[in-house]
Amino acid sequence: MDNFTLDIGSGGVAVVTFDALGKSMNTISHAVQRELGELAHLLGADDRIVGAVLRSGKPGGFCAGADLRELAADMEVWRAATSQEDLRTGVAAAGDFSRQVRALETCGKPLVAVVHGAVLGGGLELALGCHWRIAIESSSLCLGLPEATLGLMPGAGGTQRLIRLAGLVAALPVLLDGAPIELPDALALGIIDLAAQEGEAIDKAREWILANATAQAPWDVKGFRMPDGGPHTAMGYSVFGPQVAARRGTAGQGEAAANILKAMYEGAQVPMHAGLRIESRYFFNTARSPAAAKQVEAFFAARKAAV
Amino acid sequence: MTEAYIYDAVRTPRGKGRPDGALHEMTALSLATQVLEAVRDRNGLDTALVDDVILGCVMPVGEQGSDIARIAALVAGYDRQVPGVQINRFCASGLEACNMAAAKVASGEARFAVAGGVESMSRVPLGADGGAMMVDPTFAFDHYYAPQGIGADMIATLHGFSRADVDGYAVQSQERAAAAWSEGRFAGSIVPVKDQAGVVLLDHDEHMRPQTDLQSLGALKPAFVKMGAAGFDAVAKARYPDLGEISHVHHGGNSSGIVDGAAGVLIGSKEAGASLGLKPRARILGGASIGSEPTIMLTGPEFVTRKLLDRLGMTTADIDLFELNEAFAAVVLRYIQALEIDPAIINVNGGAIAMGHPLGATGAMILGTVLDELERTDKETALVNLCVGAGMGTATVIARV
Repeated sequence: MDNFTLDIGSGGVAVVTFDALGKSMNTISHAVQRELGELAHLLGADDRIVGAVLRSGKPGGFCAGADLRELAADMEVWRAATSQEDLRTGVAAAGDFSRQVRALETCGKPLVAVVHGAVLGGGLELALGCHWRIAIESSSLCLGLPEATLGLMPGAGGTQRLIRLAGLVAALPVLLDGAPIELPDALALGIIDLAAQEGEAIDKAREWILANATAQAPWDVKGFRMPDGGPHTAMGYSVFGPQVAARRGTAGQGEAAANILKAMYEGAQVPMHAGLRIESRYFFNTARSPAAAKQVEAFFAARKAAV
Repeated sequence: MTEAYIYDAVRTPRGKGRPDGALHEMTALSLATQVLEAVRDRNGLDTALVDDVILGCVMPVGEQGSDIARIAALVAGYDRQVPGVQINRFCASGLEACNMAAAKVASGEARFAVAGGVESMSRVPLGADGGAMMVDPTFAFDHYYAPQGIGADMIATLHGFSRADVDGYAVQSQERAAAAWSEGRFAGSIVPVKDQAGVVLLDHDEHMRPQTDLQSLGALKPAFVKMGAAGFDAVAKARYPDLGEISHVHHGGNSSGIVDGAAGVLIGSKEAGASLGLKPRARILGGASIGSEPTIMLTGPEFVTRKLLDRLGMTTADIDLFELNEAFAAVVLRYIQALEIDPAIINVNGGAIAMGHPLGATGAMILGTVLDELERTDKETALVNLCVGAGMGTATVIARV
């Protein structure tokens, strides 16, 4: 693996360091996606490993999200898809990162993400795929799912895990506004389980792993219920429904907002694996929309102008 | 009076009605929408000429509530003036929708009407709509309520159908359905269900078990013994003092399958069809519904068939093909026995035992299936009917044009 190193430490707890080759910040490139799959397989198969801590080797943060250059190229390919074969291939590619995160979540060993600095988009989705999340307290901590601000949407379980952690209503502004999430809010929503100081975070993670020999996400436990009951409940009709209406009335986000809401609504009513497939399809639809292309192009133009 | 014609009939394939079924991740709204889109697109239908969309749905609560017919018409992009109505005649809802559409065309109220139904049984399960029938003593006690499975076993007991008889019928349903699929007999009417990204998710009936034989069915335990012991056998005997011990012969393998699916039928007047250059495929000669004894609940088909054929001045000899929903094997066996129907001309391509029974949609599905079969075998007339909850039957007779 070029982008991850793995050290098996005391008690069989592996420390996996995400350190993207030749980059100053971790992003989710195609190469990283492939290696995440390898990592999931390795963690599951190696009997010496009882669990793993996933952290970043970059000073700036855990992971800033998608490799936008690669994603922009994918988006162009997906936009051109019309045949069943091309659509099928496109949806599969759009769901690749999501499947790798799911493979980690279901590898059978407890995983703890220790995050610092930038934990954005796909980076936060990767952390949400771990069974427990520790944030290192610092003014540089920046948690968020900003996809919607680029005309995109989370595509690696962000919509599905957040609604299952926090409920539809609490997840809605996080997913649709894309604003940074303050640490106390992240703790309240279940996005972060523990805030820790830099020196103690790995030890805390190791302690949790050794106390939780088998790990299963709450939504994979039989009998799991949506925290606020899901859309077809009194809450759904009286609170979620009006919020959907409020978003319709807010100009600007268009297709991305609609697709995020659809992924939330539909995903809330099916098992996790099906919810992830639904999310991948809406992510694909969003990523191939002309609106997303325009916004990503504008993002690159703004970045170039700023340099 | 204007005559009503069938111009097209489509259905989705049926997905297993369970969380691991292929259609579980599609909403009922999406299934209904895809059917309405197909009815429009296959026929170049100017939807402004559609005066109603009538969809059967038996559990119209949760995501299937709030008049799914109107909502699906809007989502499918039908003209805003097209209204929609969701109806419920239990298992016959899809056929009742067609009868209502035909009546609207016949009366001049509608130029075209799209009739059909939708049911996602994996998402909105049986019983989700509640009801007085099962629990209010004013009905359940005073009128001897028993569930359908008990009624099916009562039919087998009263009319002498053994476990081997009902299992044999089930094997035949599987064999006929498998043969029909392998010969592509459904190909012209199946609308593959596409997922949220437009990728085909399901293009075949998922519930079928073509390997089924008497031995594999013989291993299944009767499903309604416990229910009978809980009190319903006693109700049955109180209603039918001469019944004796109920022979519990039905189980999941000789009863209709729980599935997800939707269907749509384009019905219109001759003039409406001509205005779009559409060729009618069949004329709806008539439809009828009837009430029957509510404890057994499942004997309506015999009586509604007699009622409708009498009204049309026809006899069973005038019917080339029969289609009776395979709610339970004994329902079909009793129908064949009571009306002396040749088993070779009823449910010739299998039925709900093999392919499943998406409650609100089935009636429209089997109407389309039998129309395809009339055309394939160059026959003229067919009678379609279903047994119905609370003791009813609904039927339709069509003739090719």
